[in-house]
Amino acid sequence: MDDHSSSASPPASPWVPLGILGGVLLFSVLATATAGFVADDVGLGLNTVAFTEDIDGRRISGPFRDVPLVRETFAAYRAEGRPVVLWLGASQLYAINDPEPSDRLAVAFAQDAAAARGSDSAYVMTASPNSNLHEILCMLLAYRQRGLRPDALVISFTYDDLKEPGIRDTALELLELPFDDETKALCGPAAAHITRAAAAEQDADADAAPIERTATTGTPQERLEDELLDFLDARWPAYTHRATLRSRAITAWKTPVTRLAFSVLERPKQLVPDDMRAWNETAFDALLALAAADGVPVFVYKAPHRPDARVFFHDRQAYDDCHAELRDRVRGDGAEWNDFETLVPTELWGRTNEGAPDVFHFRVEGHRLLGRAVDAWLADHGY
Amino acid sequence: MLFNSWGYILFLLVFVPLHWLLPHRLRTGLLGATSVLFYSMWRWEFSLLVIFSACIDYLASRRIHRSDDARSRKRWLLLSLAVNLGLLVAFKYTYFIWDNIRLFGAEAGGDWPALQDLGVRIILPLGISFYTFQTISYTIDVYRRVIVPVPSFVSFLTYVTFWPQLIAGPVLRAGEVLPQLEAERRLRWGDVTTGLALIVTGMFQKVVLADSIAPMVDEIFAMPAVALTALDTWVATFLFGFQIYFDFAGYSAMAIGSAMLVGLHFPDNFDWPYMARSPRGFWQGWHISLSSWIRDYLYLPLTGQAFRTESTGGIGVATERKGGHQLRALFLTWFIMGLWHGAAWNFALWGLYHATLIALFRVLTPLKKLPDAAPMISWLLLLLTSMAGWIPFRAQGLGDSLTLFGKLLTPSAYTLGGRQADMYTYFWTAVITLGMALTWWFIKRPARRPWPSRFANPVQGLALAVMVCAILICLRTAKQFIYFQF
Repeated sequence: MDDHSSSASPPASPWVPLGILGGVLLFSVLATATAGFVADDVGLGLNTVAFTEDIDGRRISGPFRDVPLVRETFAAYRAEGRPVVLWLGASQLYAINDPEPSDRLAVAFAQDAAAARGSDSAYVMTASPNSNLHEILCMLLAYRQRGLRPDALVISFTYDDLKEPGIRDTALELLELPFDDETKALCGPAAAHITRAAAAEQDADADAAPIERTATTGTPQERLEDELLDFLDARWPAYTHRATLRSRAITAWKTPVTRLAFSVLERPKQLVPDDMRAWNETAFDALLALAAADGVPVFVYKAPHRPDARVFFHDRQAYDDCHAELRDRVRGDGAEWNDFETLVPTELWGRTNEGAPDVFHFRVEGHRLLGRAVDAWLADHGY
Repeated sequence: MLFNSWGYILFLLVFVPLHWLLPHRLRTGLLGATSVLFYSMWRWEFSLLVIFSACIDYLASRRIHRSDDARSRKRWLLLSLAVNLGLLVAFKYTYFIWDNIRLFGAEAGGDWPALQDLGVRIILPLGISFYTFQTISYTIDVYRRVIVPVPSFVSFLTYVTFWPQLIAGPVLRAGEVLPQLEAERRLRWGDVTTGLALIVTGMFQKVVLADSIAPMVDEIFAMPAVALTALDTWVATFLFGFQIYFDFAGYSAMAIGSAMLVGLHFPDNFDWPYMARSPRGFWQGWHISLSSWIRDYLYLPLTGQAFRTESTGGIGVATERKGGHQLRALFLTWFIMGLWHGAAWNFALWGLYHATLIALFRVLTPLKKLPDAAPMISWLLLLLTSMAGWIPFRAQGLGDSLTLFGKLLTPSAYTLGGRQADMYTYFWTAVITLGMALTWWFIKRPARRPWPSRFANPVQGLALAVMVCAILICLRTAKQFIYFQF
């Protein structure tokens, strides 16, 4: 037989194996060097870091994933006979700009303030980035469905998050679905929104399943791949940091690129669409209805905003009108309203990843001010 | 088995050295056995289907070759076609056919249940569209007396099941592969280093580029089609065009590179399709082996022209002959090409869209002359039209496809206000487009490269190092190749 492979054989290059080996070494060095990078902090802004809060070994604050831990704390406080204040909101509540490791969140300062004035009120908090009112409703339901009904409910209202569409699966996973009749009746359209979102999430999983199955799910390859990944994680320390390195790499190019893109084309004004606001207001009605049914006083405040910055890419008039309507609705329902917009002075705020003034996140002193202000407000009402 | 996995890397590390350690007479058998193992890593029972298909074609081709009776030869050919196409239709098109019957039935007042509701569950065997075409071409080539059937069933089975091309092509002719399988292959380090470089480059295209573009594409196409502006639609189509290119060209590079590791040479399957200046040029650069197959086994026979015998050159053919006969053949070919890609009308729309483009460039004199008269304008026109052609491939059904085409053709939809895709996505679309053009400029014109030729190899080594590092960061097996679903 002829040798059919000989004529077209390309010249050998030692640089190919050297390059492959160099790539593996480069990965090992970079992965080891970036092991300490915290990916969760990337979206919060320059030098702004996510914190959880523990007191006496008990988790009193965290994002959605920490709800089970915070529920344990809630139950423990309740067992001790302490009044529990449940504080819900978005990233402002768990992020600190320019932090020291020993810095604390507003919820801890509120707890301290309560203790200092001789109150045994205990604050617990759940906050997640860009939480819209449906997700805040999910947070409340995550406690309520386990029989944990707070003695007071504090809601941080962030206008910007009204435009956030949908309900994340991390929020939906906290719930026991389907809802019982009482919850359905109290939550009205918001219950239907949540149920529909959960069904859509399931459908999405079902839709994805055939493709996944075609690829690897449930196949011998999947089992082999799991074994190999376990082996690599156990024997190659750098490989365990690959997700961290990936986050670091994305941040390294995404931030400058985004800055450049926004300098070429100005970011457009992103208004809160009327239908999105109306959709979210059904969740707010549900929050008030649930609290009223449980006899829980509700304290809603307008979230602090950086005083020297224009209301970030929003229409000031729409911003003021929305808060005025919300205030009237809250008071009309017998709940409490407070305006903390200018509570935190300019010098305590950070900057966004794009270098612009950050209107959402502040330093630890801002948390101190907010925690004390909330506790003082509740103290006025006997907590 | 997916190429973009640690399992595949282990597979190569074990079986490539073993292949070269074995005596020559056992090497092809090992390739056949490992190919069945490779397929069985998905579902072993479907490997029996591939073997069955191969048995039918092995038997039919030998009978065809032996016989001088035209009727007998035709009968064996028809048997082979019926079995292969029957399996393809049964597994790939049953839902589609039944759904359309239901649709017509509903018009007539009938109310028939969906097959899924009757408990019918059909799993599409991986690669069936590809290996079916490969076995059909073998039998037809024997029938045409282009090749003689291979005596060894092991060699034939290895040709059909050979792992690099089993799942998603390239669709190769027996005349290109079988002589290489039968010959004594020698280990050549040039093959090994080139093969490794192709595997790394292909995996980089898939794992780093295609899989990074995918979330941006998914985000835009998840929005209601009516909400998108024309510019959003362009961004979505460009990004999907790049995603599917990197996905499939990456797969092909890995397939060709893997074959080189065991001393087998496959022709190129992609050649800068987005830099083409005519539809003909595009199809001479996109999925070349499939478009060449369609050319030789469908289009040219329909037009009465002489077929070719290699999976090179794509579907671009000379068009000296004129008349409605050719146009009918063109549209029929592309209609079938569309449905080959997927059992849905939007794929047929995709095929007819490309047939229309080709026909316009053939019929309209200004367009015919454009590639030579104004290459840059011709390139831009082709880039826009070929990217827009991906809409039916990715949109959610025929309705959304037509809505998005409508956006592109509506002047008032060209506005930055009300855009749904974020500026970051717009920015990356521009960067990738420019990056592609610049890369083509350097690669196609080595004299204009910014480094001296003596540094070409070190530059390649450096590029591979960066690619390997990026692959290790991004490698996630869950992301399958888009063309697997075809």
